[in-house]
Amino acid sequence: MTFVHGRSTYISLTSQDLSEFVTTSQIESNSDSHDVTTYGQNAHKYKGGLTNGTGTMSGIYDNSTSAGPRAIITPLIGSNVTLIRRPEGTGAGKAQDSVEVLVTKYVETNPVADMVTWSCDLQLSGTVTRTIQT
Amino acid sequence: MNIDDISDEIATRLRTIPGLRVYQDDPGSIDPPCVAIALPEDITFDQTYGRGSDRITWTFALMAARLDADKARLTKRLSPYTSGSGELSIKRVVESEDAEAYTPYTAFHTIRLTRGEFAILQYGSIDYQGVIFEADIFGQGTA
Repeated sequence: MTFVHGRSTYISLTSQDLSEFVTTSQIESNSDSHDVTTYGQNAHKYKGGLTNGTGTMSGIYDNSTSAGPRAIITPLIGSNVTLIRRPEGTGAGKAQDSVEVLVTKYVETNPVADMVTWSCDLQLSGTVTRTIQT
Repeated sequence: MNIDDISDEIATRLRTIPGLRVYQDDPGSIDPPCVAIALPEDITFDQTYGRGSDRITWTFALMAARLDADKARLTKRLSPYTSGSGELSIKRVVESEDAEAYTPYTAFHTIRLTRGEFAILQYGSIDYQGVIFEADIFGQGTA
């Protein structure tokens, strides 16, 4: 067992690698919970239901008109595309998440005394396929 | 980023300032007004995933005139170099993105002079009126 640093994380939308522009990202997975408490119980009981999830990524803005976050992500707003995220980086034996997402938000932030930054919100659509890279 | 290339490009840009000498090595003696570009303060790796970018803090020292020789008011002597505009403005020249006036930088993506600290600087036992400029440099991580 080895702890993993985040600097080698790979992340892409619709097969376009965004890694070099990203400083942080996350995928949140959850499920519905249904209360199945009946008479005679002393505490609530639950069963799982449909799964759901969201994703976010953010980073430093690049002015490329073809390969930067603005160029890649803004045309995808409102569209369903494939998100691939490799939390341990790219390489055989390392984990990979692949999921269809709806791009719901893209934000650019311009501080006076620092780099321009961007962020993106994603709604997971369907199940996350978790595999090991070969 | 290659710090030697960065030093060369900043020095080239500073040498466009009329009358300003720029030293990248220890010259043995200096002739003010001049700027000395030494080593960076620090480099911070991995600003983005996959070695996408790094960040460097770099200081360089302006020595405007000998403290014992210059009779002009200190503010009058230093003002042209510390102003935000004007022919001698170090901030304006270093940060300019005017590709017709200056050769564009290729060794890094962005540079911003964040502050200037006024100080008496010493070289070879001689005191000079000076300013230490601090630059925030952002560029490619893999290069």
